[in-house]
Amino acid sequence: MMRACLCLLLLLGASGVSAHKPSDSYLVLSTNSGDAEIQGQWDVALRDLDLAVDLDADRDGTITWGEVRGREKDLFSYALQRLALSSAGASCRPESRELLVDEHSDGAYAVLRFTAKCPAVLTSLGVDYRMLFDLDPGHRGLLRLDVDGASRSAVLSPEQPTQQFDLTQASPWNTFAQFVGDGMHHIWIGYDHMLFLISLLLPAVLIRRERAWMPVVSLRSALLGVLAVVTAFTVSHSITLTLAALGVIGLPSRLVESGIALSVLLAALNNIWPIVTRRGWALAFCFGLVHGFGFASVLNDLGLPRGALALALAGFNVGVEIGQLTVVLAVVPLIYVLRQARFYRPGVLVGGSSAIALVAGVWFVGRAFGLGVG
Amino acid sequence: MRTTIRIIRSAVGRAAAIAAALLCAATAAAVPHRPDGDDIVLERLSPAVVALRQIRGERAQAAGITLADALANARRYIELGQTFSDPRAYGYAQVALGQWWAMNPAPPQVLVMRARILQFHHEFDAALAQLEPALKADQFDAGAWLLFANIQQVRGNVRAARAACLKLIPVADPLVGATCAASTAALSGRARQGEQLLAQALTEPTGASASERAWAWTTLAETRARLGQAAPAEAAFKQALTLVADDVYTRAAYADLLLDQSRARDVRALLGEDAAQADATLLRLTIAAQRDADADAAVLSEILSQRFAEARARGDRTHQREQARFAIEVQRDPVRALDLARGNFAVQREPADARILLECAIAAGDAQAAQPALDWLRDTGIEAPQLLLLANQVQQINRGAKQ
Repeated sequence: MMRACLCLLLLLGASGVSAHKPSDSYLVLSTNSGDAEIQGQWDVALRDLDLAVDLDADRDGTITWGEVRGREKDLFSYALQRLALSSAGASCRPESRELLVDEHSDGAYAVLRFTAKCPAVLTSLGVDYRMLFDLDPGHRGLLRLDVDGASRSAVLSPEQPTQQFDLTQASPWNTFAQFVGDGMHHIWIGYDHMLFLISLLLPAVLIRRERAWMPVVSLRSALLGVLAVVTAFTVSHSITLTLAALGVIGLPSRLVESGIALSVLLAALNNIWPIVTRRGWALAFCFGLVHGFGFASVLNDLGLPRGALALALAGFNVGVEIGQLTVVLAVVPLIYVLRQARFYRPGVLVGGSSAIALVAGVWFVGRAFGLGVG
Repeated sequence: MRTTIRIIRSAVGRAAAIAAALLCAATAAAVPHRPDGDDIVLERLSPAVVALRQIRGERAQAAGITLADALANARRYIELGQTFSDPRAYGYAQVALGQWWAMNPAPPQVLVMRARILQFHHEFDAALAQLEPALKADQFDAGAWLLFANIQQVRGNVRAARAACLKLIPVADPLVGATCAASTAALSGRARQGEQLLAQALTEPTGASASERAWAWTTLAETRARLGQAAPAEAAFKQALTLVADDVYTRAAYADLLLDQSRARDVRALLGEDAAQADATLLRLTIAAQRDADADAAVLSEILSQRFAEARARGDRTHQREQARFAIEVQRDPVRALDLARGNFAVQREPADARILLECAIAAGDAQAAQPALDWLRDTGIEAPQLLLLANQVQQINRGAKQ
């Protein structure tokens, strides 16, 4: 309320001198799959429109709402003549809807709302932007295209005034599938997560009795152990992935990255000098929390679509789980078969874990002290 | 005593008014609306905008523009753009050049004008590529030599800058030549001689323009500030501002001197109501407000981060130094700040660029990242106690890591 009062006060004309920023317009086009119509909102700085259509009629150095409103028709015709929208080569006819105003960080903007009707259901969208380039080649059109709530963006310039979008790929299902792929990819290229998982799986085909590892007797008990570890890891990293991706909590990336390396190191060392032997799942749960932060930072780097945050998050998580499952399916049958072998405990469990610990140790030192390795 | 309090109050009041205006901008951004009455003022065009519009009006009346007119118009746009730090003016200058903008081969003066515009966009190599043939064709163009020296200096090529100053001295006004020479001397271990030379040149009668004299005072002020002579530096900044009260660069540099002396209140009085017009001044105002633990700080910081986000959205990378400073001083995010400071140092290498890189590297505990700045300090032999102090701190991190 306080803020609203302040705004009102200022809009009544106390201050509001324009700031000096490069000239940008903000063009938002939105549509839904299966539609033949595009809704447009185009925010253009009053300063730029003054240049183009001479808004300050009385030349007093101020632009009033009356001066803007009086030129509504001219403003729409100026702008809409300089924006050509088309779908599959056929042009879409834009019609003005309403004229509003808004404040951006550098001053007042006219908000031009319009609807463009295309001859058929949209399968692609061509944008040809020509506004203001002739008056200020530094001008840029910052375009955001929202299809079914998922956003894509482009910067339109004199060098690149056109942009083509394929709308067949923008369905929610495609967004979801794309992030599933990204999640799987991250597990397969993220050796730290993979090595962590392998460290936890290696002892799952063994059981600790009287300070010695024995092979489990049945496949069932091996699978139960694997299931417990994988479930715990999944639940815990999903918690932190979700919270961090939604911005509820955040940790510095250096802490997260070194935490992940440390988790791999500790999990591997635990196989060599066992401390946690029966509750491997508890270890997986605690360290999984750290890995979730790591997944979240990857997801952030990929750029979350504003309108489809939940979908992207779910997709990415499912991808991570699928990636993880493939690791389990590749490793578990192999170690189950090998568990009885004489070399399994010294060679695979201790030897493999030592190798993993070595790699993780190097990562940890590099990441924690910024030495540029790993 | 009472007067002092009143001055302080009015300075704070002004800052509050700016904050309120900006707050309005920030909160109203999400709601397009229909104003209640025709008399409501939506925008006050700043003096810069009005002046730019005037040039445009004159141009429209003149039929059949000659090259001389086109160059004169472009020059006026660029002068306004420089003073008010207004990027649009450079676009208008490009349009003012009309057919000559894309002409190839172009007359030397056109090449120089193109170089000015490219320099503003931080396309330094492209700007130098325009200047080289222009200077070959016309060895007596003082403005072109000065621009060449400037760009070389910004790129950290102090030797090339000094060579350009030597070419400039015989063809320019003595004060302009002295400023060029003093400014490069200050970067190559002879700051004191440069300071004396320039202070002396400023006492002599000169035919230099007001903006050239102001530039000389600002250079003198910056040299003194780097030598740690705060009070004489401040006097020189004040002289510069009597000549060009609106100059964004000078106001920002003066504000930096005040910030270094922990005089946040004075920064706010200096930048006053117009601080929001340029990112450089808004940044200093925000830092001052934050150091004062003022309630406006959060709003100012919000606006600034919005402006930087908008710059990134358009693909603009010319403000990395400012963004790095914002990230480290206001947002306290040394990792991000270091990233920006490194990117910035790859493009421009002046004392301020070295300083921000060193500060960010220290804050992030990453001595290796500061290496380019350390190399630059050593190669130039620049005399700047504050920078050397920072360099020492970086070396301590190095030693700490080795132990």
